[in-house]
Formats: sequence, structure tokens, C-alpha cells
Amino acid sequence: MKYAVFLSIIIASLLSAPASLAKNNSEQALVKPGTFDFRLTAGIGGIENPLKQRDNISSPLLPEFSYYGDKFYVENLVLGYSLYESENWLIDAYGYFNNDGYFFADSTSEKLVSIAGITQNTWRASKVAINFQEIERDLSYLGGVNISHIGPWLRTNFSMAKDVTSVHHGEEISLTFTKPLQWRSLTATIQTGATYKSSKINDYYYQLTDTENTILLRQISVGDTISPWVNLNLRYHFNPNWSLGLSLKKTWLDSKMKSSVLLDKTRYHTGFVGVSYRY
Amino acid sequence: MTLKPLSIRLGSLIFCYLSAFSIQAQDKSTISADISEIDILPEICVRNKRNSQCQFKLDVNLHLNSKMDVCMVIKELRIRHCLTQVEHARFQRMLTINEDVKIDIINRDNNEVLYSSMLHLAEFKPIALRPRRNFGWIL
Repeated sequence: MKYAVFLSIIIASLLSAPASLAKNNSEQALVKPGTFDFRLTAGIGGIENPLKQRDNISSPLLPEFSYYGDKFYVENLVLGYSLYESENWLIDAYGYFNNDGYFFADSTSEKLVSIAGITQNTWRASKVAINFQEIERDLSYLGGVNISHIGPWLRTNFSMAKDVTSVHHGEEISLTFTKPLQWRSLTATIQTGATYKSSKINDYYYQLTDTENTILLRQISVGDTISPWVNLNLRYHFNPNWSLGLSLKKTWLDSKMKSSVLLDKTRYHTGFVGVSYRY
Repeated sequence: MTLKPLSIRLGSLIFCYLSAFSIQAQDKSTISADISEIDILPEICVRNKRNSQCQFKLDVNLHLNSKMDVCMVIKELRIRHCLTQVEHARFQRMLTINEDVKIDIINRDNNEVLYSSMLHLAEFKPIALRPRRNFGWIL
């Protein structure tokens, strides 16, 4: 039922969106084919790690790059090929890294954590240590289709993608609403959306394998999840090259994720604030 | 963020204009000693790619050293406009062209070409811009 509502919202939003294009807003988002863009931001930011006993992922630098050819494009680690492109509609074949794998990026430290008493789904009391920090998961790359509608007030993205790297064989479906705003030299983008992840993704990243489950914790499959999120981007342009930017995103993981023994929290932030130079 | 697309569009327009102007400048117009001054405007007509024709008002301002019968002739458009015994002639006319045209000023008495110039048709081709996806970092 939950997914039927989710899909209904997707279809309704795509069909009911007005057909005309907001010229002013689209002007901000047009790019000349053959253009390579590079922006480097120096500041502070990173990803709050929702995994148990994992360090947050932080960086003083945030590089962003993009290249647009006649059909092909690259935006950071997203690769895409335009199948159909009109003033209002974009249909792309595209691929991107599944973000769950990023949380396992710091798996080398040696902290040992007792799990006694911290999980409710243990079937026996235990004080045997599990080294959470040594749990490793592979990054996966998802490939699929992205459909965008550019309306006068809103940009709507709907994407479906599947693991093409045979890591977990899972699928993701995303729905994103984007509202761009501009006031003189200040641009703002407000985004909200939700991401569906299949049980294969959740079970791969958020369940212990038999080898890792040394104390035989009873685990319940997380199952399919839908996690909503909001994102705010602010950027003040001093000139075409220099700007000051702030990006903040909050994600609420589906409540089903509470059953994962690997997770410490079911909400996390990502963000970055800093000074940017665009080449 | 708006600066770049705008500059690209302006740049392409200027490039288009300069290219056409450069072509115009390469033409060696013949000018007779009977003419003291001549101004022909415009020198080029720029049409949008979507429009097959280019419409403009031709304004020829001619000063002669002595009175004579002169005609403005545009063969491609089958135009022949003559004035009798003038020292100062002005030809004004709305024209619609879909190719380069040659403008001749001739002495009607002996058909001597006093001045000849090409009026070029240029085409404005805006660069096809693509919508940026703005995925950012998918985190």
C-alpha cells in the first residue's frame, strides 16, 4: 500500500506538472555542449555516519566537476546519456554510485565495541565483542533511467536504477522535487524527495554476514525502505568565479532500518559550507 | 549563473555579426568619380534560422558631383528605381531577401555602373544549450 501511494505521487506529479517552461529559472541551468566546468570549494563539511561506531566522513575540500557533450554528460560521479531532450522533458540513461557504500569508507580502525545490551533482537545475552569497524562493504554503481520534467515552478526528477556491478543486485527508485530561486547574487535551491531501496540493498549493507555475525545475533531482514530527505543549497556569487556556498541535507531513514544492528541512528546530515572558485 | 549563458549568446551574436561584417569588408565595391558620397544601409541583413527570409528597409543616400539620371538596380529582386536629373538621390525601399543581393547604381543614359555593392544575408545561429542536470553529489 505504501509503495502504491509512493508510485501514485510520482505519476501524479509528472502528469500534473504544467507544460510551460520558466525561462528565468531555466536560464540558470543551461550549459553549452562541450563545456567543462570545475568548481573547488574550501571549507568544512562531510557526511554524518549513521553506522554504529563509525567516524563521520569529513573533508576540507569539495571538488565538483561536470562535462556536457552533445548527448553525453558527466556530473561528478554521475554518467549520463540523453535519450530524449526537449524544453520540458529530459530522459536519460544514467549511472551513479549507491550512497550506502560511502558509510563503510573508514573500515580500518581497531575499535572493539561490546554489543551487549544495545540491541533488542539478540536472542542471547552476550558480551562477546564484534569489531564493527572492520565490517566492509563494496561500493556499487547503479544504472538506470532518469526522467526530468522542467516546469515553471518546479523541477521533478524520477529515476529507477539497478546495481550493474553485481554487488547486491538491488534497485533504487528516487523522486525529487527541486525549486530553484534567485535574488540578485544569491541563488537558492530547495529540494525534497524520497528514495526507495530494495531489500537486496538494505540487507547487503545493513545486515551482518554469517562470517561477521560471530555471536549469532538473530537478524531480521530490513526489507524494502523508503527514506525521505530535504536539501537546501545557498550560494552567494561575488563574481562569476568566486562564491560562498552552503549545502545542507537531512535524510530520515525508513523506520524499518531500526532493525539493523549496524545502524546507530536513523537520521543523518550531509553538508558543506565554504568558499568556491569556479574555473 | 546567468552570466555565462548570456555571454555565450551575446558572443555568438557578435561572432555572427562580425563574420558577416568581415565578408562585407572583403567586397571591393566599385565607385565612380561621378559619386562624391554614398551611404547604403544596412550593410547586412541577419535572419533567424527559423525564418527563411530577411526583411529590412534599404536606405541609399547618394551625392553626385553633377546632375544626372541615376537608377538603383537590384537584379535578383527585379528592382529598378530611377530618378531624373538629381545631384542628391535617396532610394528607400522595404526589401525581403533570402539570398545575397547586388545593389548597382547606374547612369541611366549610358548604363555605366557608378557604384556596385553586395548586401549579404547572414544567419543567426544560436548555440543549442542543454539543460544542466544538477545532480550534484548524490549523498
